[in-house]
Amino acid sequence: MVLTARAANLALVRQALVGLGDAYGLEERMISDMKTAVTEACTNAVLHAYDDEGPVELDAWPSGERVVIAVRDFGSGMRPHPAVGDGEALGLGIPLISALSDAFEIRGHSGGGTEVRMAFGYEDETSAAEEAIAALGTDNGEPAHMSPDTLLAVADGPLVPPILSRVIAMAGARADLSLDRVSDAQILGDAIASSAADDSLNSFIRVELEDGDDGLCIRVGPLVAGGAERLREKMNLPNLGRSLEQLADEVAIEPASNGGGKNLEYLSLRLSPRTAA
Amino acid sequence: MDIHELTVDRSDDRVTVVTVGGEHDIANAQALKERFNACLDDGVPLAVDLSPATFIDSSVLGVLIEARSHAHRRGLGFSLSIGESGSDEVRRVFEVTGLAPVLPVHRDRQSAIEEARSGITIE
Repeated sequence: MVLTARAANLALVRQALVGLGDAYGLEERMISDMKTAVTEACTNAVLHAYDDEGPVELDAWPSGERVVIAVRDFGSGMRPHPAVGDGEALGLGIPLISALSDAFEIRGHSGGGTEVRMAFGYEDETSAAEEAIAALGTDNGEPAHMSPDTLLAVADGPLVPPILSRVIAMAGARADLSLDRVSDAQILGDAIASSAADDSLNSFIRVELEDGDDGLCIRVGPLVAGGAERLREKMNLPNLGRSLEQLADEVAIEPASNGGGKNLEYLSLRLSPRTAA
Repeated sequence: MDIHELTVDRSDDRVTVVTVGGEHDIANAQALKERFNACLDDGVPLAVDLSPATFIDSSVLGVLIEARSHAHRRGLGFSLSIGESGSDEVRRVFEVTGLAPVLPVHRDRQSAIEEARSGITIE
């Protein structure tokens, strides 16, 4: 997941974590600890990483009996900064991360950027600290290099529907969509979750979200050549109840600008902030 | 969807009760701080009821600590309640930071209101 390091995006991160917790069947206590610790790590990125704005990237993966979550920015590090928030001035962020995770580490990268990596155990044990620290060492994928408002990349499987549905719902609410339209956006999210894997790269369903005054834009991709049209057809199946054009105000196929000659493309869906017809 | 719910009850002139629901983090900590300050500037003790809150982070803890100091500088009572069935996240943040006895944090709203009304308690 990649978002702009902006305070208003922290609530989106928490929705994604609740979706992740639901999908893994995690205990409420663990989800609640993850939400608090990850919020604190992201707050550090929001306050310290960039002079203006930049991306913050979240990865989550299972490792043995734990879930590891990495929060990365590509800014200038956790430098001292005039106090913006009072809690930050109290320095409670890192102690909270420390108390709520089984193990955590902060890595500064030579090329700039900071990563906070946290491990959360499925069971409330503190004795397995060494194991938790070992879990932190597992690496996962390469960083993304783009920064739409929000980018979600979820490996095809049970994680996709709950995460997509929750994050899309909150982005829709932020775009001032009516409840009916938020519900339409969630139906689209479910359809993407069940149909996009075949034409996605490396079995990762990737969705970019942009919310603003003109509504919510959901871009699925990059997809392989012809994938956007196939996805549009699949999303129009009668079992969806309503056609794609009824759910989205605009449906477009867009070429990926950095497709590297592979004719990669996106399926772009826009929902305007108007009431349902 | 409003995720930052806030209501201010001034029906008792001996205590102002601010009820905080929803999620609160760095995005709106400043707004909370201004609201608490405005209440205290009226010269009335303040009780903050967090029982409907579903999430608070360290920036909100900072705002609460500052509100308590602000109240005490003015000689006013200040207290918090998190409710018997309040959210796990909120309760846990107070537990792990050890701030519950400092602020102080009550389980039930009425005790918090009575404490705020009774003035400054032990530091």
